Amino acid sequence: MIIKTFLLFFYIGVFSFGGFYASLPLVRHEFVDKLGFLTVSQFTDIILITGMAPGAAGINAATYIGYKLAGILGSFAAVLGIALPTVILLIPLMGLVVKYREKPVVKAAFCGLAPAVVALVVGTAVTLGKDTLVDIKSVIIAVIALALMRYTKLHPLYIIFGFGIVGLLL
Amino acid sequence: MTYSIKTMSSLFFIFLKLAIATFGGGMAMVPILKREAVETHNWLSEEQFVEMMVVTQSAPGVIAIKFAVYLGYRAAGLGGVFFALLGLSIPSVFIMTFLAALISSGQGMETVDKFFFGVRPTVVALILGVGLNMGRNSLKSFFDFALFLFCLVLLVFFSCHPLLVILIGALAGIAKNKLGPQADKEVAP
Repeated sequence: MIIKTFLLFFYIGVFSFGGFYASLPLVRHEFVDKLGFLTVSQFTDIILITGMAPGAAGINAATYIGYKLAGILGSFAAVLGIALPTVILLIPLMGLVVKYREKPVVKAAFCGLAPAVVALVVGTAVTLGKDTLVDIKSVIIAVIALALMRYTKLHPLYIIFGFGIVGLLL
Repeated sequence: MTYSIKTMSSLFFIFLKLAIATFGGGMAMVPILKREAVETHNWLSEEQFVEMMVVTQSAPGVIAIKFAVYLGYRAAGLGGVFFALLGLSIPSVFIMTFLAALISSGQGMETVDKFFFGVRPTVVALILGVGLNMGRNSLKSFFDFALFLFCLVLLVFFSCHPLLVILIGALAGIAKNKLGPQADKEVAP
């Protein structure tokens, strides 16, 4: 069971282009439809819980499903499985970047990549913000958080939990 | 090459923090990651942080795992990868079990909702803050701004895949260097 868990998550790791949520149909197909390891309602619960848990959705789901299937060792097998394709793929890719970083064409590419990456980060904020900043209170929280980040040395972790507590008190 | 135990334990604790304190997916990790990797530990320069974003967005997989592998390997080799992943996954067993219990008890949802009421706008603000901060570093010319806006419109209004935006960025950079004799000084060898 542990080896099976590992292999299944390895498979999911290989095919999860675009993050964990993009691979949900695959997870459902493997664990619910094909193997029957999880019921539809267990699967829905897992999505609900990973949605509110902090950290990486992929890791959260992997540890949780792994745990349900084969205990703590199942959790480790699942995480190892989902992470291993990334380790195998990413490290050579990093080597390539280091090797070719000084080439003129790569330098030129990075001139365009820098603005594109800024757009990715700002774009994420805008997309999330469209659904999140919906009333006066949430806008005020966002403005204060932005100011705290910009003008103080406060670690983002404290800002996040600080406003979580503010949310509980409001 | 040997890496210090201190670096590995820093990696472990950074990813432990990320596992506990990031809400809303891989991109929500960027504010803490940048603070730790660029400002606190100097493992990456501003340019290398852009490199990390490009590589992690281009490869398949879960974004948080890609960050752990990338930063772990850069800072402390394979051992660093191991400790970063360990830090990222240990809290999840406890958190998931705790949340499952909270939900099945039936009264937890309201508390969770209130907590998120404060957290969600904060996460948006922090991601925006990092974006603006990176923008100050890398948007220096009209070309940079135009490309940034073009990519932003593609992402926000056309829900374009990040990989396509990365490709457009790279091609635009190369095209500009090939076409313009007035290419930026940084590009000239």
